[in-house]
Amino acid sequence: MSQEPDKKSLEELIRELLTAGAVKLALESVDGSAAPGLVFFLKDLTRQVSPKLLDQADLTLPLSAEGLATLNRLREIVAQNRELGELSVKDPMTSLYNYRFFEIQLQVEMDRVKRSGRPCCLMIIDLDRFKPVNDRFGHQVGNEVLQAVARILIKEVRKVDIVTRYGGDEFAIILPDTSAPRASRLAERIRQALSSDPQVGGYGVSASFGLATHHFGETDGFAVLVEHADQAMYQAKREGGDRVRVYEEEAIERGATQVTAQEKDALMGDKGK
Amino acid sequence: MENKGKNDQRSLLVSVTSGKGGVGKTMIVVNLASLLAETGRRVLVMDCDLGLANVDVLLGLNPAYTMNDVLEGRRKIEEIVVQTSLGFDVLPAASGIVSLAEISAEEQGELMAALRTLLDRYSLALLDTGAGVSSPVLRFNRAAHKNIIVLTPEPTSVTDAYALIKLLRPRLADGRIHLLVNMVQNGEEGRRVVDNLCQTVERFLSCSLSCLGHVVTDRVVRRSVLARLPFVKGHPDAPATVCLRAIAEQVLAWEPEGEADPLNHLIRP
Repeated sequence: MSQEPDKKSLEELIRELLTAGAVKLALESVDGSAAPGLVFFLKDLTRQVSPKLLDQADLTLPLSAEGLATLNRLREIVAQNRELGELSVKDPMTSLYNYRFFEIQLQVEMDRVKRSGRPCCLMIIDLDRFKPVNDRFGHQVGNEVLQAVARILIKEVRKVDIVTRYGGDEFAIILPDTSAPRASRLAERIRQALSSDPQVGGYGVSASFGLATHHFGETDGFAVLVEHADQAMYQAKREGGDRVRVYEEEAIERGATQVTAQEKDALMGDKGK
Repeated sequence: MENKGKNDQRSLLVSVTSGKGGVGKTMIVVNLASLLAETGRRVLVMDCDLGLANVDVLLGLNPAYTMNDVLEGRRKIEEIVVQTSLGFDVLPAASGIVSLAEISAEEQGELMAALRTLLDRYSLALLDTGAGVSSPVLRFNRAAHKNIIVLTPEPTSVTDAYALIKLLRPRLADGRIHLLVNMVQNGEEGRRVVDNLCQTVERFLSCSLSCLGHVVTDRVVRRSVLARLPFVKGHPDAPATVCLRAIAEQVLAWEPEGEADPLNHLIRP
């Protein structure tokens, strides 16, 4: 006989499965005859790929005990998979994504540019004067600094941005659907947050930021984007650190396309007296 | 028709570009191509707009293949060229030359060689680029001997044209950049726009800017778009045709001067 799980717990369950990308899996596992409403609903979700649908859907579905058990088993599997998955892509010390995940995800985002037409940005962050902290206060304190940096990075970025620990005291953030000016403002905000944090700036540690953009239509691959962001970061280092630099070519072109107020007046025929 | 002297083997590459979209670039390209082809030149139109393949829409063409077919070895580049009844050919989706990712240096080299061979068959190629200052647009402009910047009297169009000119500044000094003011009410309006722009360039960029002329707003233009036929064909005496004919005559006098191989700019930033 069918039982009526309350709307809230079922909604949570489906939302969880949906974010884990398990809707398709759920569809294959749930017996259609046991829960026709649910199957229909899940099908709709896979088509629309929008969790918003949940709010509109009628979730008082007739669901058999067996159907519910299947969904619960699925939830466990998804949770276990997620845990395993995270272990393989995360840096244990900072809980940020590791280099391996960075490589995969940067390629994903660069491919996405091809479809969306909108640029993505890469921000490389290298800490300034980190080694003296390690030498003077020991690795424990050094690790705490790195953890504080990780915490600040996560706090400042958007949900869609991917924060990774790129190397020892080097971090990289992939910014999907972002142009250089916006990334530049974010970098500046992070720079200030790091400098004013007692656990980072308090130890005299700051950061050098390098930014590069992958534009729609560019054929340059992954390695070139990383190289450009690195070059910009080293430029920031050369200038004394604790600053944001955008890969040169872009900076030149951005500067060159700015039309000043005087030029605008002249273009409109106001002959600057 | 008679190309004499040391450049007689090289085809002239002319880009038609704009700072802002919607200024009638593609319309200018297909009509200019028609006029140039009438003089007996072998003309190729390259659709270099990443976003929209407009040339084939304006001409009612249905290209069967794209640059991808060339890259993947299914077709040769000359096989994707579409012949029109207007006396010129069209290379659809030429933007693929700079936009195809996942293409190795070797493949890129092959593609460029194929493109050079193709261009050898034409005395003149018109590159219809996208609008704006993105990297692909700049590459196509640098790859051309001459750049025609199309603008309208609208203030935003004028400002964006100026921004593009600033970006292509080294080419300005070489006399490679030429203005074309489209959709003007009359000659006076066209001259006013050109005067302001030229004076601004002289004052702030210390260069002189050349102007090809203007094309007046004309009912036949819109009607021709709907008929998918260049207006210069259906309306040889219309005011817009007269304007464009004067422009075509100047283009005919251009020579492919300068760098030995500007096409290299397509593959390097």
